[in-house]
Amino acid sequence: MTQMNIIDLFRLTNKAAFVTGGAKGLGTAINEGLLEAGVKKLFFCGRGRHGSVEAESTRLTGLFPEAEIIGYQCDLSDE
Amino acid sequence: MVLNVNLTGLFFVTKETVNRFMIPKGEGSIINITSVSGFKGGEVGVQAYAASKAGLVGMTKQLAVEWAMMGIRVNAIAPSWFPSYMSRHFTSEDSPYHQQIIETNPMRRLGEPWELKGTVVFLASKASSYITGTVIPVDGGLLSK
Repeated sequence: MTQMNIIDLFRLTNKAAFVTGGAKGLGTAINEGLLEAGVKKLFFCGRGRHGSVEAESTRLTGLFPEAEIIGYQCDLSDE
Repeated sequence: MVLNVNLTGLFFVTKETVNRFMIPKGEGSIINITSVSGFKGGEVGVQAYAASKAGLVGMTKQLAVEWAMMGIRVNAIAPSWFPSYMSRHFTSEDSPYHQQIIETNPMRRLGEPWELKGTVVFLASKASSYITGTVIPVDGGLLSK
């Protein structure tokens, strides 16, 4: 692997990420961290009670207008 | 129910994500959020949660070994108590457990959600390219007690 500058090592530029439990709570901080590091496409899901998936999508789109943000309502315990 | 979400459901989602996206690309980083509860007992009434989180530690290590050759890393973060909607019955200031949680932690405070960001980005990025199968506690020193 090629050597990289220390700051570049932490960059997630042009990466895609998928965060489960990302609609509320700690997941929202994780969404933010990934987007701040440069993630271009963020998928997240949550059970979405009280409209939390839409609320988090709107919040993230406001903070990171250049990223593609896609929230899903899903329950991981439902096969 | 707790096991279905925290362990079984997560396993199926992980497997699908790896098969569909990571194996074709030949790279990927999976970060499981386990808990200090996966390592030691604590407040009462969280047996299923503790079992699911300990199981997730095992799953992290096993998948790390299985997928290492495919360029896929699997690590975990073990937070202690952080304030959230889910943990509110323990972490909110009017909870009977609040004082106990604070006093038990070496830093004498809860974690703040933003304090997970650094570890997540570290594990997601090339900064940790030779690290797989590890669990990093983000716990104010609780697991070292």
